[in-house]
Amino acid sequence: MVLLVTSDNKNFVVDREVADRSVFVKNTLEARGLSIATPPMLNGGCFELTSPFLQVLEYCQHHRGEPLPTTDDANADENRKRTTDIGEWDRKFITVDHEMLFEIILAANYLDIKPLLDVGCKTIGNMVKGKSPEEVRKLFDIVNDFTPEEEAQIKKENEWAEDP
Amino acid sequence: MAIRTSCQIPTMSTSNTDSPRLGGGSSVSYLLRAAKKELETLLLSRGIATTVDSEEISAVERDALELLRLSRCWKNRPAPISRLPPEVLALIPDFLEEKSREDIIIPLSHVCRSWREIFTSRSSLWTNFRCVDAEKTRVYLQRSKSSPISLWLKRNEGPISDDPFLQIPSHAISRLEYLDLLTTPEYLNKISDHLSLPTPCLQDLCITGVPDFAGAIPLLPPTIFNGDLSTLRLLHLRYIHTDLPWRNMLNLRSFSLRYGAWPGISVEKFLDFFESAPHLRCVELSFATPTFGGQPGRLVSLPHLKILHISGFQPSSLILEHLLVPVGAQITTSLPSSRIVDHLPRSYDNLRNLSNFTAISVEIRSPHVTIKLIGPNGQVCMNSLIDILHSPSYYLAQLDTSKIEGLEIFDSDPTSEDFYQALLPMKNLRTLTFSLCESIYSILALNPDPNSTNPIACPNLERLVIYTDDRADVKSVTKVAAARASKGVPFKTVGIIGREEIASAEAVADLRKYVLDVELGVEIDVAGDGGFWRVFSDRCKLTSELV
Repeated sequence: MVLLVTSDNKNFVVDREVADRSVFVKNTLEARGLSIATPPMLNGGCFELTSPFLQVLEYCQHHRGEPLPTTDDANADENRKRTTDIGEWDRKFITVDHEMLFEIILAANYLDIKPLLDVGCKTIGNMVKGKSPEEVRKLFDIVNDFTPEEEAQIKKENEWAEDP
Repeated sequence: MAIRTSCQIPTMSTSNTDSPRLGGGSSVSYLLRAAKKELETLLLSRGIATTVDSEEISAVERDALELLRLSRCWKNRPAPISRLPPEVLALIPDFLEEKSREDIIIPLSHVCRSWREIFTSRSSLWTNFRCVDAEKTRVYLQRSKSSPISLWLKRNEGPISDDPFLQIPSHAISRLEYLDLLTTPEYLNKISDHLSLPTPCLQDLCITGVPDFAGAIPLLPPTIFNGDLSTLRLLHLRYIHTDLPWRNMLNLRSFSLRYGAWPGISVEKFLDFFESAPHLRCVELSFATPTFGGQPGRLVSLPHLKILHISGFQPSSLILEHLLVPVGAQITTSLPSSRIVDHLPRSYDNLRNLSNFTAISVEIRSPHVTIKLIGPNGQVCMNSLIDILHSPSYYLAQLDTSKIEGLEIFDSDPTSEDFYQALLPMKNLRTLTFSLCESIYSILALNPDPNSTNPIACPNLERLVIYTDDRADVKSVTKVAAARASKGVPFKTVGIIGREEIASAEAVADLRKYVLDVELGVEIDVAGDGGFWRVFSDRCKLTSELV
């Protein structure tokens, strides 16, 4: 068993097999020969970890025992990425509000859980696919901050997008 | 490694050393106040000072503009997605299929300034594009930096003015990794100089010709890419005139030539080319086979070959008998005439996957005929191109079947007399399967006629498997089994398969009197995907095989 302590000082006791889904936690534990990992602090400590961490734990529990992607096979990495397919369980898991989705992606990135990062990025990819910039802005509450000069350039680039 | 950075507010620099330096910790109001002060100073200096430094004015203008941009960036600061580090956001297009990547990358780079910065600065996102617009081509080449590029160039309606491809500088051509070219003969001539530049990282080359008004197809010059295609892993040519002059194709894995020019490439040229490409895994020749055979006895080894497909009106054997095909390779040929022997080599010694086939499958499903010769390590599959159907017996009669141990008849029911003649040479046949046949009258060919001295067909036949939905067929099988048992050539096993269990307990008990084992099975579409599984149940022992 491993004790994981989050940046907001919440303790989680999990199986080593579950904790090892995170390459960051795995390497930390291996390097220090410890069974306590403290604490995954993000840059600037800018978010509370407990809430997404619970989700991340659920993901790791579900996928425990599955082979982890290796870093030495570039082709497998490419093939893994170049698909928008998401497994049924993962799809249900990642069906959360935007804030939680981004928190999960941040946590997956920080904790180095590649398959979860993939699921998060695929989900965003599927969300933006086929959408116009305006629709993407609306979807993610983004303000158009281009200057008129930049807008003119963009207008030109839009014509390329419509090329046959 | 995971990316562990967070989105940083860009720092503004200014030429005026007295101006405040703006960093991530500054508030928007402070920035605006600072800018206002800068502008006031500038205006004052215009009115009071005797000389105005235009450089300084420009610098303040630039700063003011940057400040405006910065303040707009701040508007997007509270958006939840802004919490994702740029490096993570930049990964998103990686998870889209190659085809849709070009369609999405432009809209994504138009969402806001920070996204534009993120997506335009990642060179690998700008490496695949359709070359249709000069400005677009210039921008893609610029944004892709020094990365290898993939280009789609389609000119099927003649050259266009101000052609963007011709404006690609030679150093960018040298970055070509993939080129998909659709061209008329005229356009290919026009770009031939540009296409003769060296491309040291070109891996995939697909060229499709579009015939001109006279019906001529483009002639691919031997000087293409400086005459050196040694880096290619894939070469696919369609409606292209070439005699394959390139050598040293050591990296080539996949080669296809479809619809070459008449009269086609000679066998010798093909063999020279194959000899220079010993790592070929996949070869497809469609309507590009030569009209005359090569030097007798010449054999080219393709030790890594996995797939060989030859189709067209010319006999496949013209090529096939010169290739040393390894164990495990899948060979598919067309059957443009009903004479099988025209499409197979004179001996099977070079077809190591076959090396004297041991089983045959004949499938006649109008309008198609498929003959499979199955060897110990693979098979040759021949598909008909024309709608001339004969009975399985016709095709079997053309082959040396004396050594085959397995025969499967799909979807057709030869007459029993014909079939008897076809079965006679099959002295070593062990297994006979009738699959998806509507009726199996031909099974009577296995029935020794008590009133005749004719030899018994397939005396070593041990296993008979029939697919049927007709209970009468079970009776026919029982009759044949009884007759063969009485002549001392019994079946060991009879398998009966249907969409439902069609053999009654009584019928099975009757059949068991003459055979050692009866396998009953049903075909079930387990996954609901049209792929039927045959599930056999016999004495509660379940086995299954995918049809």
